[in-house]
Formats: sequence, structure tokens, C-alpha cells
Amino acid sequence: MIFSTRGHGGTNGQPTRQGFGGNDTVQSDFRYDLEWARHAEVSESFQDTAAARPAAGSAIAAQMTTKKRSATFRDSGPGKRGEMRGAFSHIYGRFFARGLLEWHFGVENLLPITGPNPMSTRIGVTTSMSQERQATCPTGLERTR
Amino acid sequence: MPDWLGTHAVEYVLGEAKDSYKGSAKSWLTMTPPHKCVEASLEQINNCQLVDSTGTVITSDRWAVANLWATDENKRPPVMIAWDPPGDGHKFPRISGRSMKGNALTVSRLHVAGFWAVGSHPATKWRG
Repeated sequence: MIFSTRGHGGTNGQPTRQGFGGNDTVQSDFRYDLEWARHAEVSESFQDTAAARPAAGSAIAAQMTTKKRSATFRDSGPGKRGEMRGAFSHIYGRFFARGLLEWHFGVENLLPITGPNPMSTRIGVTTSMSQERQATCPTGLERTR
Repeated sequence: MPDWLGTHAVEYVLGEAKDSYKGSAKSWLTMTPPHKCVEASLEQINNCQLVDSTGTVITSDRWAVANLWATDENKRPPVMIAWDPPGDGHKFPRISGRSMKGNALTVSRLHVAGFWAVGSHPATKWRG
């Protein structure tokens, strides 16, 4: 797997965080551990929807190639048509990204964000739309992707 | 909106995942301009702010992670790009260590509660 970090050290002018790969680093032999994605799959499935729970932890294992190349899907990948393929790739993309953040970068307690709501009484996430864009947006909230 | 809010040491972290089946590894590693998928993830991660209980914007780290999938059939190398874009620096206040400890505990509790809640995550059910 080719792994690239394009980091700027998190905040302006500060040194790059240690162990985060450095600025603009490319590793062509990065071994993404599929266990990261499997753990992330379980966490993500359990946190996001009860419907996904029976399948938690099994989808990644079933779809990955048997060859020793990390992050490569077997055959032509999950899904046959464009729409299904796109949907599957979004789901697996979340698992892989979450796995990287949790296991490689040490980010903890990842909570899914579904909209511009307060997460609790202590913390919340809002869109930072300009006033011009807010004026033209009927709901006042940016469409979530 | 980004996909996740998490904690790392004494910082909040916002995370965003994007992915694609299309494009070559070369086009993904060329950052001038970034690939459409990478650009979309950066736009999404930068289009939000973290606020505390008083509505004050606080500093957070941000990570955009983009994947180019590989399959047995297309035989290209998979690419994963993790990008922490330039942050807001000290433009916005960092929360104090004591407050962060309490806030991180709150996030941690919500994280654990999410595993036991039936249906969607409790944090997503908040209506103010």
C-alpha cells in the first residue's frame, strides 16, 4: 500500500507531531494491518446502527483478497454495479480510516457525527458557512454528505 | 460535517473518511491539484468548527483520510492518504487541561454508551 501523510503538524507553525510520519511523507511499502479495519468495523457497526450488528467483524474478512497485499479486495471488489460499489466503498472507507486513526495515530473515543448538533452539553460541532452561503441555504444548514 | 469527533492526548480530533475506486495511484499522489476525492475530504473537514457549551469556538486537530481502493482485477496499488490540513493555530482558545479532562470523559462516556444504545448513537439523538 502507498501511504502518504500530508501533515502540517496540526496547528500553524508548530513542529510535526512525533510519530506521525512527518510532513509530506510517502511510504510505498506501508503495511496496513487488516486487524485495524476489523476492530474499526465492529466499533463503527455497533455505534452507528443496530441493524449492522450481526454482520460486525465479518465483512472485511470476507471481502479482502487472499493474497498478501494489504487493503486489496478480492476479484472486482464488493458490489456489482456502480451505485452498490460506491456504497460499499464508502462503508469500507470508514472502517479503514477509523482503523488508521485509532491504531496508527492513537485517536481515541471516536464518536460518529451525523449533523451540526451539540454532542453533549460540553461540546458541539457546527458548520462554518459564510453568512452569504447561509443566506442562500433554505435550512441554514449545509447539506451533509 | 466530518465523520467523527475523537480525542488525542489533550486535543479534540475531527476525522473524515473518503474513498474511491477510480483514478490511478499517480493521480492520487499528485497534490497540485489534489485528486477530487482528496479535495472533497479536505473541504469537508475544514467546513466545521468545534464549540464548547458557551458557543465559543475551540481549537481541534483535523484528519482527512482518503482511500483509493485496489482489487485483484485492477491490479493497482492501494493508496491511503492521511492529511492534517493547516489548523487554526492559536486563533481560537485551547481549553484548559482540567476542562479537557472533563470533556474527554464526556466523549468517552458517549463512546461507551454508543455500544449499548439500541438504534442510533445517543449523541445523534440530542435535540436542543
